[in-house]
Amino acid sequence: MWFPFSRYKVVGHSMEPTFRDGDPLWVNRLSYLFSSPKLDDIVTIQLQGQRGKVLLKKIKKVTKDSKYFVEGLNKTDSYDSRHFGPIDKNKILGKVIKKY
Amino acid sequence: MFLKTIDKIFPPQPVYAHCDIPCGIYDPYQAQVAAHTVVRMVNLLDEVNASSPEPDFDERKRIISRVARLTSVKEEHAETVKREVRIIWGDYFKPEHAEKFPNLHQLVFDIMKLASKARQEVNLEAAEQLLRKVQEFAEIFWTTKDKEPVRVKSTYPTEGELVLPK
Repeated sequence: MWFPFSRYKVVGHSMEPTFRDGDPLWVNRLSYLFSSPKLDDIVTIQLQGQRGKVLLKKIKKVTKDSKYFVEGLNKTDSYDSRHFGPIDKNKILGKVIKKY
Repeated sequence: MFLKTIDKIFPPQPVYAHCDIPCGIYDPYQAQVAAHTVVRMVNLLDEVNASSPEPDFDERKRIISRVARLTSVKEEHAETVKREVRIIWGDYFKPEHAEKFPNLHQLVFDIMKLASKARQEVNLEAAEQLLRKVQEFAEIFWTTKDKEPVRVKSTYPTEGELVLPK
């Protein structure tokens, strides 16, 4: 069943100190239905080649061709756009709205 | 409280804040040990001698067996050098590292070529050059980690050095 809000649990350290390993999150999957991701939004993304894994990143830059450069907050321990390049909007699943 | 109870019944799905596997665990130590092993195997291959120009059958068997074993280990460790360096180069190093160390990509290319040469030949010069390049690679790696690299004399029969963080 499809829900507009999803619950996630953080695994890993690339978003510390804001999001720690084990933190539970709410993600709004409708946030970008009629609008575009903005700078500093924390988003969940899904890429090909990651075996379906959902990643947690921050929007650092919007490129001229409307792609999104995402990074982890903990840059020394993050696999992000510095490796796989800017991503399309359709790779962004939703916006993190709350820790609970 | 309510959500925590829900979580227990219907666990939330994981969202990964790291790469494919937890990253941050990189170390050029293994590549250096493997490069030392390649040098050592070439030394041992160079020491293989026959007692006469026409040794008997049993001695030939011993020589062939020894050369086969030494060559096998040399091959395996030269390949280990390539794998370990490739992982650090591909997974750890970022564009800003390459900007700071403009010779990084060429250095990795040289290591790949020298490791192949060390596999193909019994060539002490190539093996020693491979070790030097891997040490140079290790120095760059530790510098990017804000650790001062130091050269420490190894306890190996090669009597070479290891590059470690201070």
